[in-house]
Amino acid sequence: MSMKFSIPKTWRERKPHYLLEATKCKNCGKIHYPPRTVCDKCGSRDLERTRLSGEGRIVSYTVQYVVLDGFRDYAPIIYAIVELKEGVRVLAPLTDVKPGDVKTGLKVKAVLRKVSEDGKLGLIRYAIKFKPLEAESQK
Amino acid sequence: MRKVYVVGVGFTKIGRFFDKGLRELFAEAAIKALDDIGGEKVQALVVGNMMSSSLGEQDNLGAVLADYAGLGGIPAFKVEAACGSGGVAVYTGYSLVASGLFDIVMVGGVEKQTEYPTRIVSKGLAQASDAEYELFYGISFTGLNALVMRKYMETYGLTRDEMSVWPVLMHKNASKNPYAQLPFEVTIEQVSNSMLIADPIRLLDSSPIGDGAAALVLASEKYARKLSDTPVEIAGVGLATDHIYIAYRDDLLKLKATIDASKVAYRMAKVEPSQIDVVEEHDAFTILGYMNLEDLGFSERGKTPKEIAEGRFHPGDKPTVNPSGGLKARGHPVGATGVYQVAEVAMQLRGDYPGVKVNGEIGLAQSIGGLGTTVSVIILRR
Repeated sequence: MSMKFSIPKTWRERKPHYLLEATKCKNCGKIHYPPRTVCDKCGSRDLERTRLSGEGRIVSYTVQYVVLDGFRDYAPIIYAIVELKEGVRVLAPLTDVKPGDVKTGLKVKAVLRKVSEDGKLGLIRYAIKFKPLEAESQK
Repeated sequence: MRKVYVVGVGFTKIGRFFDKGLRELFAEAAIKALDDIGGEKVQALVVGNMMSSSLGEQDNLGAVLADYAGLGGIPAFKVEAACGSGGVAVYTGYSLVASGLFDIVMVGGVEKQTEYPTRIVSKGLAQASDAEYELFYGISFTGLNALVMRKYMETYGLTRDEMSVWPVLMHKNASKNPYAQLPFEVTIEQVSNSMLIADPIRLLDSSPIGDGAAALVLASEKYARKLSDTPVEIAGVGLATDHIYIAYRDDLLKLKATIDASKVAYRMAKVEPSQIDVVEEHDAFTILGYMNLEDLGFSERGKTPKEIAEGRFHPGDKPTVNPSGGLKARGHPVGATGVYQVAEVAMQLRGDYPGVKVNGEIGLAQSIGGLGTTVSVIILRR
């Protein structure tokens, strides 16, 4: 069995990757994704975990044709920066959409998808990707 | 703090060198820099390098290079800040001399990329980004820059052809540079129609993968005149960092670390952007070429492509930008690039630069690690 992907690391990061879990500063209210230990705005160490809505709009995107090792099956991959309702921005791939149908401002929501796998028998990494909301929800 | 001077420089041509490894490449640059100071001994070595560990399986690089460059058992270590390693190495070497710990220090930079296939090198380069939340998804470094380039074009209403003037200028400058990796000219049509890597970034928007090494000798005021007839003062240094996760930044269209680092360097050197004669900046991609000039205070946001089309920043203008051809066409041997830049600016100011010449007294070098995650700005004065 291949062991290129670390099991403890994948386990440790499961909530931010599967559930869009962020941290929220109990002092100033800033939300951080990825989660932090110290608030970068006010310096407070008093943070709590919070789940993000997963709904937002595309701020910018790229269609990446030359992909890294391990991602050949997915090429070309569309990556986007999405600004969620909460004002927090997340970078993730888009799914269930063709490159020609993507544009800045498109409304999207987070869904759980396979990201990569460690050979045929190794660990599979899952995480959120964004898919466009239905046409009637785009207004 | 004591004044610090560049007294010796040396670098290799940038390209594919199947017959030279990290040690041979670095020794070639180091020997040139030592010859430049009449063979005097250096007391310490700082090396900028990104991927000796991830690609070359070589850690402990400072010791290896000091040994194989014939520098003996002197203090030697590597500094790493991704593609900005070279600039941070200069910053570190400066600190060692300014502090009084040493009088004569060599700052080197070396990178060996071409013996691995592009998909492996791209993975190594992508480690400059957030491993857990960016690289995790397989986004390349080109992909991250593409997100910024699209935002820039949409915000300022710029066309593909309007964006293509940067590589054209860089290749033109590099065509006169004897050590450039890509010393040939290209047209706007060639840039705009080259292969898409990560839309909107095309092949000719991107710096090439190459091998190279550069070395500087820095000295205190006491030794500067003894070692060189034309010492060049390091008048200001600035270093700043920013959030590695680019989605976390408030504004994608500026690199805050460049703004912060340049403010410190300008203040220390007591100069304004308008006084700078020559700039070597970190144009890993077309988009960075423009944004760097805006962040460094040389042009207004969104207007740089049109200004360059009208002749601004070309040879003969003040400042002249990237007379070497920049990362785009001189080449980008990642961890060595920041050292090349300082060597090039020093040679411009002392008057023995071999390519497009700039007659001036003050120069600036900017080096970036990641997408503006670590930025150094070094100001030199004749």
